[in-house]
Amino acid sequence: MTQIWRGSIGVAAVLSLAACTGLSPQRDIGAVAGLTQIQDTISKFDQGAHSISTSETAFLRSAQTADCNYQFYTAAFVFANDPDRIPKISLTLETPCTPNVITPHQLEERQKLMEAIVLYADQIQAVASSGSDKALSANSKSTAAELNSLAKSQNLMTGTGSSIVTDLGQAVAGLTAIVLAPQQLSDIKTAAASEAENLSIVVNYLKQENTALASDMAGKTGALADILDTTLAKEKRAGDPNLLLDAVYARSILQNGDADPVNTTKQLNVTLDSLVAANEAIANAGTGGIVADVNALIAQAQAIQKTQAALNK
Amino acid sequence: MPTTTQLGNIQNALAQIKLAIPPAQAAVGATADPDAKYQLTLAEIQLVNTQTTLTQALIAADDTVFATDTEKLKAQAEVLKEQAAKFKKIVADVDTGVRIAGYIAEAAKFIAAI
Repeated sequence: MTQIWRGSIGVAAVLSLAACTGLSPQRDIGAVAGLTQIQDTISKFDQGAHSISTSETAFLRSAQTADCNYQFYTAAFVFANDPDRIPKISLTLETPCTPNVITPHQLEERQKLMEAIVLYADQIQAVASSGSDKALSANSKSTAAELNSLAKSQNLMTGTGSSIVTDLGQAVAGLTAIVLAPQQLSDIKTAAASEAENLSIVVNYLKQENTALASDMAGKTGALADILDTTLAKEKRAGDPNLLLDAVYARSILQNGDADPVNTTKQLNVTLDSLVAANEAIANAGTGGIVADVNALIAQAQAIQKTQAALNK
Repeated sequence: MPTTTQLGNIQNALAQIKLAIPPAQAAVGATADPDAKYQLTLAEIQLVNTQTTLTQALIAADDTVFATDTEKLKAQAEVLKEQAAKFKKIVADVDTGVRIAGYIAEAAKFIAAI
């Protein structure tokens, strides 16, 4: 318990938050228990940010996989139905696929957006912690410095000049700035309030993009089902003796993918919203229940991870 | 960098393609004849390919990628017009075929205006 009270910035930060939540800053047992709970809650907020980052990356990778699968199956469909004995197109089995939607470079850019959010959450958690040193590790600071520099020079995302890219650059610059100068943070509440808009900008961008990608994935899932269905129909008419096994294989192909990417993405977007809501709760600690919002964030993060894990089985 | 008008046309074209895909997929599922099913599946693939290019154009901030996508879309719009005729001709439910063709025609107009 006494460890909680070590460190100057952390105590000030947590006390400020405790005062805002109606907890007495006095060192009685009840107050200490309250502060411990707040520190625990801020730690969960950080965990939630990490979980969302993992889920977002997993989602973007699943969009790439869906795109690559679709590329292969449509090429195979055209190849198989080419009436010429010497096909006009070649079917490449071994060449690694290059996704058309979310290229590897675009994935890296979005991972940087998530890194900025995670660094921000890490810093908030560090400020709330009982340790005296509120700075993140040298590695984290180095990453933050790199992101901050890219964001400020508008090189974080491709397409300098686009208003969205400019907004994202400013948001990431803001989120990473506090990691570079944690000593300037007076308390968690103020930090959360000052970064609320930046967090929202990044989250809204990701949500909008996730929704567009989910529609694209859903279209591909449906087309893949029709490719297999049509192939089986042609085999049936031809009296193909392999029809039964092909039908079983077609079924397993479809079961391996996400049958409802739109719904999965809605779940991911709700989780992203929960992160913003939890941050808002920290920023407005006097009126809202931080614990409730952070617990909601954790519940959503666990739910989406469970869904994604089930899809990867 | 795409202009606001270009982005608007991409979003509108994408909205029309999204409206066309579900009935097109339902039509493929409802078609029993393998040859007709095959033709409709090819048409459906063109719709989905166009959706992918539109999605890529929408999220690509990179000027070069956007220019490439725009060129690709113009070519896809021409192919789409042929697919619209196919849906009209093959889909057993005439109203559904006409509806799909209508969405495609609208999408092609927006793509032409990008």
